[in-house]
Amino acid sequence: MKYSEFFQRATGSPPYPYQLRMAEAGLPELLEAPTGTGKTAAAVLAWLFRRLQHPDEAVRLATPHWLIYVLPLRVLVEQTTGFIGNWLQRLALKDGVGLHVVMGGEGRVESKWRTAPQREAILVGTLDMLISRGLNRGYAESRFTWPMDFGLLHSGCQWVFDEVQLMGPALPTSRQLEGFRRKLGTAAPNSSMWMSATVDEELLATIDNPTVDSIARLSDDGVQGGLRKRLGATKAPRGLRVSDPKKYAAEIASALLEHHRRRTRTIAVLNTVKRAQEVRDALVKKGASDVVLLHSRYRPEDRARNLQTALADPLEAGHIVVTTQVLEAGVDVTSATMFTEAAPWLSVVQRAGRCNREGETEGSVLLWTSPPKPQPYEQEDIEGAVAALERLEGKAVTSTDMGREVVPVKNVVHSVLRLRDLLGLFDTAPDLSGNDIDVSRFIRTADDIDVHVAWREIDSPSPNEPPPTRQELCPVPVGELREEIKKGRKAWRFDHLDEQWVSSPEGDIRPGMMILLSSSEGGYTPESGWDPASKAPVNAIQVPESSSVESDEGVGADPLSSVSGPPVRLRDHLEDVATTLAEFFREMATPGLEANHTKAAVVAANLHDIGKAHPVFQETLLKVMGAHQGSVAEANGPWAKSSGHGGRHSRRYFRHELVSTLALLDHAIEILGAEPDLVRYLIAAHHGRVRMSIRSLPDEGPRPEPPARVALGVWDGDQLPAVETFLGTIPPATVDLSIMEMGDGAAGPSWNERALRLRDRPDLGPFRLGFLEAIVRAADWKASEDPGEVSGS
Amino acid sequence: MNTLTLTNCRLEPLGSYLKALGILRLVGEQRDPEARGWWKRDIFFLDCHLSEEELILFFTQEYRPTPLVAPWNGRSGFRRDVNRDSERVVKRLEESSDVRLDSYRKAIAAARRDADRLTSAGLDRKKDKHSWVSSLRSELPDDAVEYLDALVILQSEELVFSSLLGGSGGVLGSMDLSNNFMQRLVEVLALDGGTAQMQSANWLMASLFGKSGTSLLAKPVGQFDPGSAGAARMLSSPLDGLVNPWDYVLLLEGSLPFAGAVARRLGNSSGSKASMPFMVEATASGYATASTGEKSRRELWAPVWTRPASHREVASLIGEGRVQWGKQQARSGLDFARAVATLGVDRGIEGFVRYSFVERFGQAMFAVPTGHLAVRDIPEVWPLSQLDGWLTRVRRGKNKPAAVDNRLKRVERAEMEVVKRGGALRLQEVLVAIADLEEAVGRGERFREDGSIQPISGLSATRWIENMDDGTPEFRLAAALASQRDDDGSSLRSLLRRVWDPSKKDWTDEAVVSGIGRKPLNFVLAETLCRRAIDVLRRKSTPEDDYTKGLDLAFKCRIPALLTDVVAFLKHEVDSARIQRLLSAFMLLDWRDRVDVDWFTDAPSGASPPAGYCLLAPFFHGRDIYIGDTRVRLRAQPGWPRLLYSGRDVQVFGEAIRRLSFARLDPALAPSKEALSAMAASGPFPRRLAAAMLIPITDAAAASCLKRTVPQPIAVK
Repeated sequence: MKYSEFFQRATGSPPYPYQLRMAEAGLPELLEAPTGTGKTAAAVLAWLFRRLQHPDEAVRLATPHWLIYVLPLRVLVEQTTGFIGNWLQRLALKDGVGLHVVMGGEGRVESKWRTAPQREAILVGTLDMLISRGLNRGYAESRFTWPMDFGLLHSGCQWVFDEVQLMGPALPTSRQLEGFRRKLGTAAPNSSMWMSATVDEELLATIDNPTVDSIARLSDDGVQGGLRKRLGATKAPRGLRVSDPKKYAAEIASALLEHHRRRTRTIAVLNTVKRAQEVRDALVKKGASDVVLLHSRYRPEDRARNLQTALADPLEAGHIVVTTQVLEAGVDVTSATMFTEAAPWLSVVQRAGRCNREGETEGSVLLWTSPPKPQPYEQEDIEGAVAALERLEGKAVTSTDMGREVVPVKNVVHSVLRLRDLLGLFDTAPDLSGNDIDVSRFIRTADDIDVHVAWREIDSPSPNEPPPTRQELCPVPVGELREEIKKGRKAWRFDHLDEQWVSSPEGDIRPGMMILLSSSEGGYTPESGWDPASKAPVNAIQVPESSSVESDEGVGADPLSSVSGPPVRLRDHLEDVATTLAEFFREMATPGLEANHTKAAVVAANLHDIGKAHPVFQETLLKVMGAHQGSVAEANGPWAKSSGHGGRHSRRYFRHELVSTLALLDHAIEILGAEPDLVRYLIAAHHGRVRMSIRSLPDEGPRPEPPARVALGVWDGDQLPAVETFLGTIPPATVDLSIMEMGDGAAGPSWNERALRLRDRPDLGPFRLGFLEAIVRAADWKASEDPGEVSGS
Repeated sequence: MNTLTLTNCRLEPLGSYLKALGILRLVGEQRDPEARGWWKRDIFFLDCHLSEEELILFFTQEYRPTPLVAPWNGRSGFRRDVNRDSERVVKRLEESSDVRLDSYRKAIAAARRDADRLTSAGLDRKKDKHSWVSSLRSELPDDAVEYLDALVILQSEELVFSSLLGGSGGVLGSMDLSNNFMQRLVEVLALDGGTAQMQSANWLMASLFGKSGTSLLAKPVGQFDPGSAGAARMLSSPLDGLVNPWDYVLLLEGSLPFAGAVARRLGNSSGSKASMPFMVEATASGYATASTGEKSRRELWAPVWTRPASHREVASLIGEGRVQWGKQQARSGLDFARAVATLGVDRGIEGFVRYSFVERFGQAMFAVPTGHLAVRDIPEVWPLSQLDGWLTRVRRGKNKPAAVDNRLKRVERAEMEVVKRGGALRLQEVLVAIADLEEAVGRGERFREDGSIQPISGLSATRWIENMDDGTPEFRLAAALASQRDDDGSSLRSLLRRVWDPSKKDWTDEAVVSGIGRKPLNFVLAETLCRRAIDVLRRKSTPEDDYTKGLDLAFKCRIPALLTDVVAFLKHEVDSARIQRLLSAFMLLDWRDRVDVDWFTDAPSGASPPAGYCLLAPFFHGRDIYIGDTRVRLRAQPGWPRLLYSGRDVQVFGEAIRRLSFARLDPALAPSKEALSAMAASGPFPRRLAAAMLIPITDAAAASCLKRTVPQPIAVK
C-alpha cells in the first residue's frame, strides 16, 4: 500500500505534501506547522506506516516500535486518543497496535503496555505523566514501578512532543533526554520530534543536544485548499473595559451574553480556573442556560462529558464555553465570538486560533481585557500582549498576522536536566521520609504543579483501602491542596513503610502524589470540578471489584506471589518467565545490546525467584494455601505463587529477591555466565525494591540472636535449600549480607560498588541497564498473568 | 596494588579529611579506576597501582584540575571592569596552553558566554542571582556543575548555600574559594616553570606524607584548619595563615562529593539548609567543645569507613547522606545521632567525625572538630523512634510554656545519652523525662489546644520494658503496677494521670487520683485502691449483691510482680521514690499487648510476707486460686480499701477471717481482737498494706499466701 492510500484510508482525506514527505523521509526533529494543519495525523500515521507498511524492511526495522505522544494538556488526551483509535480501526490495526493512555493510577490491571514490550504500541499522555516517567519518577505511580517505565520509555521509542510553546521546562528536559540517549546509548534506537506552529529554534538548543538535525516546515509547501481558507480566516480584537473590578466576573458575563450569537459557539478563556468558575457562575446567575465550564481540574469522566458538550454542534440558542488554557492548544474547535484575558502573546495567538477557525463566520470579534491580576503569568508578558492587542484594535486580522506582531517576552530561565541529575535519578531507593529528588522543576514551572486526589467515602482509610483508580483521580494544584489541609481538610497518602494510608500534613504534599480525601468534606462538583469552596459531599466513584487488586505500594508488598488460578510451582514459574523473556527478545530488535547482556537477562529470569525457597516464604504460601507442615502440598513445593491472597510473612518486609541475589554471590556458580553481577542486579531489581543499595528498614521487627545483619526481613546466616531450576540445581546457600556494607570485603566488592559499576559502564549505562531491568520484570508480570500458558506446563 | 600510607591525611581537621577524599577521587577518576581508600585509626590509606613517586608525578604533571568557577561572586575574577589579582588569574588560566587546563578553559569560556548573554538580556548579577546561577548550571561543562552543586542548591524560589563551603556560595570573608583555587593552581601546576615544579613536588610530599623541608606560603587557609589559622590570627587578620597550596587544592577537590546528593534533598519542604549531605542542625545538647560566645550553627558528620572503597562508592555514600530514622528525615543533631547509632550499621561505617561550623570574628565560618561518634548497634535506641511523632508535635507547638521548653530539653539530653552510651537506666530516664513533659504539656491548655497535642500514645510496652529492665526490684514493681489495664481501658494511667477524654475531645481536667510525684507512694497507691473500689462498685448492676460476694478489685495485669519484691516493699527495703518516678513513666506505655519478661525463675516460696498481707492478698487477687485441685475465689469487701487507708486494719483482718470461714476455709488464726491486733502490730502500716494490695502477683504467689493463712488442707464442701 502506498502512503497516500494508507493515509486516505485512515483519515478519509489525502495527505498534505508535508505529511507525505514525513512518511518518505521519516519524522524530522522539528516540525513547524500551525494548529489545525494535521500534525497529529502527520506524526502518527507516518510512524505507523514506516513501522508496519513501508516496503523497505530496513526502514521498518529502523523505525522505533513505540510511539510516545506527549501532549501539554490533559484535555487533549482523550481527543487525541479518540482520533488515533479511529485511524487504527479504519486501518484494521486495532489488534496489532496497542493504544494506551498513560495517566497514572493504572495499577497492574490497566498497564498492558508494560507486559507487551515487544509489541507495537502508541502511548498518549500529558508531559507530566510521560516526562516524569522518563525521569524515573513516574507521577501518580508506585515508586517500585518507576524503573519499569524508565527502562521501557528509553528504548525503541519515537517521542513526539506537541505544542512546544506550552512545554515550559519540559522542553529543555526532553531535549536533554534525547541528547543523553544518544550519548549514553540505549537498547534500541530512539528519536524525538518537536512540533509547533512557531518555535524559536534557539529554545531547542541545550548543552547536551545543541543542534536540530532536521526540520520540516509546512510553509515550504505553499498553502492550498481548505488550509488556505483556514489560514485566511480573520477576527477583530475589541477591548472591553471593566468599570468595577469588584464585579469583574459579572461584567464579563454581561459582555458575553451581549455578543453571543444564536446557533454559534462563544468561547471565553480566563487565565485562572477560579475566574473561569466565577464567570460561569455569573452567566448562570444571569439566566444563561447553555454554559459549559472546561478546565483541567476534573475527574476523567466529568472532563470527557464537559468536553463533549463544549465540542457538540451548537443548537438553536448556541452555547457558551467558559474555559482556561486547556483550550489553548490542539483542540479542534471554533467559535464565532471569543473572549480572552490578555496573556503571554503566544497564548493569545493560540486562543485566537479558536475564533473563526475555518473562516466560517463573517465579522468575528475577539473580545479581550486585561486580567485583574497577572498570575499565573508575568506582568511584563501581559503588558506586551495588551500593547499588541491595542495596536490591532478593530482590525480584521488572521492568526498569521497576529503571530507577526513583535511582542517582547520575559526572559525565563528553566532548570536544565544535567547528566549528574540523570545519574542521580537512576537510584530510586525509597527515602522513607518521602524525600526524593523533586523532578517537578524539570517538568513544569513552580506554580503549575499538581497532585492527584481521589474522593472516597471514608473518615479514615483502612490499611486495605485500595489505591485510587484512574477514574477517580482529579488533578489539583499542590499549593491549593496544601492551603486546604492547613485549613483542616483531612488528606491521606500511602506510607510505604507502614503499608497503609496515613494522614498527611500540608508539608508532606509533593507533586505527583496520589492523595485520598474524604468525600464528606466536599471540594468537587461534576460541573465545576475541583472547587475547594464547595461543601456539598462529593459523589465518590465506586471502585469496581476487579480493580481492587493487591496493591504494590508497600515495601513488603508482593502481589505477584498470588494468583487466582491454581498455585504455581517455583520451577515452573522460573521456566515460564525465562521463556517469556526469550520470546520478547526474539520479537523485538535490540541492536544496542550485546549478546552477553541479553544472555544475562535470560539467566536472571531463570533464577529470579529462587529466594522463594526460603522457609519464611514457603511458610507463608503454605499457610495461604491452607496446607500444613509435612503435607503433600509442602512435599510438592517449593511454590512460587499461592492461589489466593492475604499471606503475611512472619518477618516484616521480607524480600525474596534479596535472598535470590545473595544466594548467587558465590563465584563458583558457573551458570551466571559472563556477566555475573549483571545477572545479580537484574534479579535483585525485579520488584523495584532492591537496586543500587541494600538497606535495612527501621523496625524490621524481631532481630536474630545473636545479633546479625538484617535487611528487608533477610538475616545474615539464613539458609536457602538447594533449588531446582531449568539451568540446573542451585546448591544450598547461606545468606551473607556483608556486601551491604561499604567497601571491599570477604565476598568481594560491595553491592553498591557493583551496581554503580553497571550503571557507569560504557556498554551498559543507565538506559540499557534500565531496559534490561524493565524487560525482565515485564516477562515476570506477563508470565504471572497467565501462568503455565507460556511454557505449557 | 600498592598500599600507600598518606600519613598527612588525617581525620582532623576537616581540611585534611577532605584532602583525602580529593586524592581518592582524582586518582580514581583520572589515573586508576581501581583505586581504593580507607581509614585506619585516623590515617588515610590508598590502594592503587601507583608507587609513592608515581603518585607525586601524577599530581605534579598529569593532574587535570576540576574547573571551579563561581562567576556570580564579585571576587571570583570574572568582572571585566576591574583588573585585580583575581581577574588576572582567570585570564592567566584562560590564556594558558597547558593541556591540563583544557576543561578549566572550557568552563571559563562557558561562564563568560553565559554572563555576557545574561547581561545583555538585562539580568543583574546580584538582583537576579537565582536566574544567574540557574542559567549557569545549564551551560557549564559537566565537571564544573559539580562544584556549583556543592556550593548551592537551586530551590524553586531561593538559593540555599552549603555550610561546607562557607555558607554563602563559595565566599569566605573577602575570599572567593574558586578564585583562590586558581591562584593556588598556578603554584601547584608550576605554570611559572623554572624551579616551581620541584617546589610543587616538595609541597605535595609534605601535603601527602608530611615529609617536610619545604617552605609554606603565607596564604589564606579559610575555615578548614582553625588550628593553624589561630596561630596566624595573632599576627594579622584571621584568614591569613601558613598553608601548603596542595592542601588547599586537594581539599576543595575533596569537597565535591558533598555535592553528590544535593538534588536528593530538593523534595524537602522544610529545613532546606540541613538538606546537604551529612549536614545536620546542632542542638544545644551534648556539644561540649562549642565554647561560649560562639554561635553553634550546623554540623558535618564525616563518615569514617574502614574497608577499601572506590571513589564512586564514597561519593555514593555521601550522596545518600540521609541516614533514615523512623520515617523522619534526621534533621537535628540528635535525630542524626540516633540514626547513625542504629542504621549506620548497615553500611559498616565505623563512625563519624563531627565538625561544627561556628561563626567567629563576624562572618567567617570555622569547622571545629567536636568529637567522634562510633556506630554501634545500641538496642536501647530502637524504642526512641516511637517518641518522634509526639515530640515533633510538641516541638512545633507555638508559644511553649517555659516548663514545656525546659522539659523538652531534658528529654533531648536524655535521648542523646542513650544514643551515645545506651543502657537500660538511660532509657528509663528518657521515659521519666517524657512523663514530666507530658504533664507540663497537659497543664499548658492553650499550648496543647493550639498544637492539637494529645497525651502520648503508641509506645510498645514490650519494646520499652525489655530494653529498660535493670534487674532491680524498683523496676519490676513499677512495671507490674503500670502493666495493669482492663479491656475497657481502665488502667492506673487513667486514674493517676490526665488522659484523653474522647467524649469531650480534650484532656481530662485533672487526674482522678491526684498526687503522684508529690505524695508518698503508699498514699497514692492506697488512694488509688479506694478509687478503684468505687469505680468497680459503680459499674456493677446489683451493688447489694456485692456486699455479700465482695468485689474483684484487681485489674487485668500483663506483668505480675515477684512476691519477694512485694515483701521488700512492705518492709521499706526498696526506694519508693524511684518506684514512683518509674511508675509515672511506665504508665505511658501501651499495655494492650502481651509482654514477656524472664524474671519468674525464682520461687515465690523464698519470700516470707507478713501475716496480714498473706491474709488479705488472696482477696485482692481477682482470679481463681488453686490449692491442689481445689479452686478458690475470694473477693474483697468494697469498704476494705477505705478502712485500710484510714488505719483500721484490725477491722479488715477480722472481716477477712470471717469471710474465709464463709468460704469454708479454715484459717489458722482465730478472729480474736488480741490476735488481730498482734498481727497488725507486727505488720506494715495499714496504708502501705493497702498499697501492696494494688501490686499484682502471680496465681502461685497468691496461692502461697493463702496457704500461709490456711495451712490445713482445705475442708471439702
